[in-house]
Amino acid sequence: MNRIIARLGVVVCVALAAFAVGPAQAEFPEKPVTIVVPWQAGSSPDVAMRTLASLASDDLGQPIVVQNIVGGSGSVGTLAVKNAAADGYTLLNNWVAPHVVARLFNPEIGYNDDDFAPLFGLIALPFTLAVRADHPATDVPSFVAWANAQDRPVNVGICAALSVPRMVMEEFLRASGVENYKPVPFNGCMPDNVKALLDGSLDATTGVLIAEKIFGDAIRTLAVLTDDRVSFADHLPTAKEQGVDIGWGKTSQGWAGLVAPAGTPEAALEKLRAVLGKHVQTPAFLDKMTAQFIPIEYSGPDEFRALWTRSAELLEPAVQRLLKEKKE
Amino acid sequence: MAEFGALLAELGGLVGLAQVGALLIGLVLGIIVGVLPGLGPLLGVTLAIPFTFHMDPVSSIALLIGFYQGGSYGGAVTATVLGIPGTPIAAATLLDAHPMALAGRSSEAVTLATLASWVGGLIGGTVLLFTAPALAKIAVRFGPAETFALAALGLTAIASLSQGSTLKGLLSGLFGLMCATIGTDPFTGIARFNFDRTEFSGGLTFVALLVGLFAISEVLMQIERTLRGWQASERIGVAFSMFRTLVSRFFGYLRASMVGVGIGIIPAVGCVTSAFLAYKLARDFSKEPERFGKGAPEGVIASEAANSATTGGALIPMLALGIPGDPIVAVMMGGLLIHGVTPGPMLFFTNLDVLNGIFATFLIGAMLLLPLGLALLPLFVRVLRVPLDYMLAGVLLLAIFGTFAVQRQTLDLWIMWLFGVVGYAMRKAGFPLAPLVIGFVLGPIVEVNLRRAATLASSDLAGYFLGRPIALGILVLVLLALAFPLLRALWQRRA
Repeated sequence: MNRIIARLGVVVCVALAAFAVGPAQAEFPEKPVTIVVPWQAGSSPDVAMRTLASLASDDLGQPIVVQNIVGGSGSVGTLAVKNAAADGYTLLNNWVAPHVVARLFNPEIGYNDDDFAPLFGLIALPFTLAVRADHPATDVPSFVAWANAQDRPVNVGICAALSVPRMVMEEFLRASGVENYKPVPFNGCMPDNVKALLDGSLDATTGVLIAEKIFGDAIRTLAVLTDDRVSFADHLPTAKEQGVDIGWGKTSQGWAGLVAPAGTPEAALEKLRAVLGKHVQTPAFLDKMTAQFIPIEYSGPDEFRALWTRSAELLEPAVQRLLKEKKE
Repeated sequence: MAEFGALLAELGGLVGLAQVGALLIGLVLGIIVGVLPGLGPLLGVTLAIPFTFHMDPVSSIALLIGFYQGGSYGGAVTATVLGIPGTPIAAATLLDAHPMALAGRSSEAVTLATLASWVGGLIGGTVLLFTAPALAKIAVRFGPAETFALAALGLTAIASLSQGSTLKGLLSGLFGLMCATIGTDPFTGIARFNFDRTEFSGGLTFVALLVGLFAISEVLMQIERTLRGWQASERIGVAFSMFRTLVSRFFGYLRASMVGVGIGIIPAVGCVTSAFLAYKLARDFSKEPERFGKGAPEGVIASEAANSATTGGALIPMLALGIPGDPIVAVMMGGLLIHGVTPGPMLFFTNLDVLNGIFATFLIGAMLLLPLGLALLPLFVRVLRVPLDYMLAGVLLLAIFGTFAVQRQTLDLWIMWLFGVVGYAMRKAGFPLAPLVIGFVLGPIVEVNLRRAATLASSDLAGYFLGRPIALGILVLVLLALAFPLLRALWQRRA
């Protein structure tokens, strides 16, 4: 019996030790800084943050650690950073999907703009309209004509059910006059939806630029769904050039940046903005991002915060429309 | 044969000392990461990525391949010795390897697992080398209907893994399927069964569930009954007699490896499924299926050869199509992209040297796994000599560390404890644990693909499946798999 009690004692002690957290506070930074990425390891955001971490750690004087907290379309990681200590040691790679869209869909989600202090805006990922290479359509007008000539709904891949690319794609289809379509959700813009394009399940899909690079001749990108051509893929025409303007500006892109929990000391924020902000504009970083087809658009903290507000305003009606469809 | 030799020589020329060094480091660290409960090849590969920034493309992929192969194998050792899958991949290996260890045959079980991983890896690598582009073309035709059918086939393994009571096994599988529905509805994006907490909208963390189910429940069992489990005094060494199984059980190795490669090339199905499917097949074809789960060497061979071969298979769609088949391969793809090497159809034209370097390092890594695995055995002996009381504390520490390391979320620790108690209760009541794991892994694949197929089919789901011969063929296999044990029982009774 005594042996059993002794063993139980060990178990309880070890169990309790797991929950212990020690205090730490001094000159910034004096311990490693963590960047939470709310997506899978190996995803484009993850690669971008790991690249930044490896380049900027020396300059910061402390290692930068990337941590993936995945789930709930990014909202689990976002919430985790909101609840983290506001000491500058936990940062979030915030994305429009969890930061703005998830909150519009579910106001109870547990965070809003005021819970975060912006460091800077960093990524602006345009979405595309892509078809398989043997599809008869070669541009937006011929795609619209083809789609409206079908006697069945056209299957269009949307990256996820409640996502920015879905809203952009549906806005585009409405604006271009495609009436009979069926949105088919996936778990992201790569690679399952492109595979569904190749296996013939989908007629068209919402995509991202890197698909163009990876699948090469197997798929055809008909349009980039944003206002301006992308510098490293400037052979691809925009939808606007082809006569379809949804008028969302930068909000039609999947944007991301870096934030800290609100209440983080200004000194720590300034240090992080200076060091990390410098490194994201070096050729070493930019070249690696271009190789990954991740478009970088640096914007300062105030400009970045303004983008949050503008996105919420513009996306709100689309969200309400989707919620109404859900109820019906 | 001469052509094969020439090809190997050519491939060898692409790989220098630096690449082999990176591969070795990856293999050794990968095995260690795999042995530690909770930590697996995914974590290893992810942590290794930043170290590859300053390496050449082939060296960096060699490091990652080492982690992938070593990590996939390492879990088998923990499964054998401690009865805890070091990685999810080893969950099927546990079923027979641990009973073997309990019967004092640890050396044989570990040697078998190493041999099977070696054979599986070699076969997987060879298939990768010769058939990547052709197989990729077949795999790309697997749409939602086909993937659903394949996952349904995997679910039939639940029935064969239900020793004792089939009903309890099915209930356990059902519970696994239910656990998999917690989180976010993959189709509508709306949170469901999340106890109204955003933290649960990502679902239950797989590692937390697995470590709780196996490691914590095992510790609780050990506290209760004294010293029956871990053989503190047994010596573990290389059981050379097991090498004979390479000949005597040749078809067992081959069958499992082929299953492994086959499942590997289908995106999004993965190692856990292939191991359980191969295990089920081995049991169905066995003359003495009742020995499975009680220490049957065929069970260890099937599971390890299959999951090891899957690593080779899983690289095929990534390299040839740019479609990573599992999260580990997805991270490796990220690693390639960083070096300006873009996987996909273009790779066979643009970066042939890198591609051949990948094939070569994979084969070399697969070959090195056997001597390395066997050479590291003395390390495991030391672990085994630790007195049980310390071992329990050590296992707990590793379980907590491994679970927490994945996401550093306290919630995961609570999930781990909860499933520890659940696992303990299930064991006491005679419910098998493996069906729960299968249900949890395959649930989302079955659900998403069936619903996607239904969306694409509009109102005529039956017609949609009838129009897709591959899906239909696999569904017929599902029926056969369910009927086979029944038919055999009838036939045996008549005989």
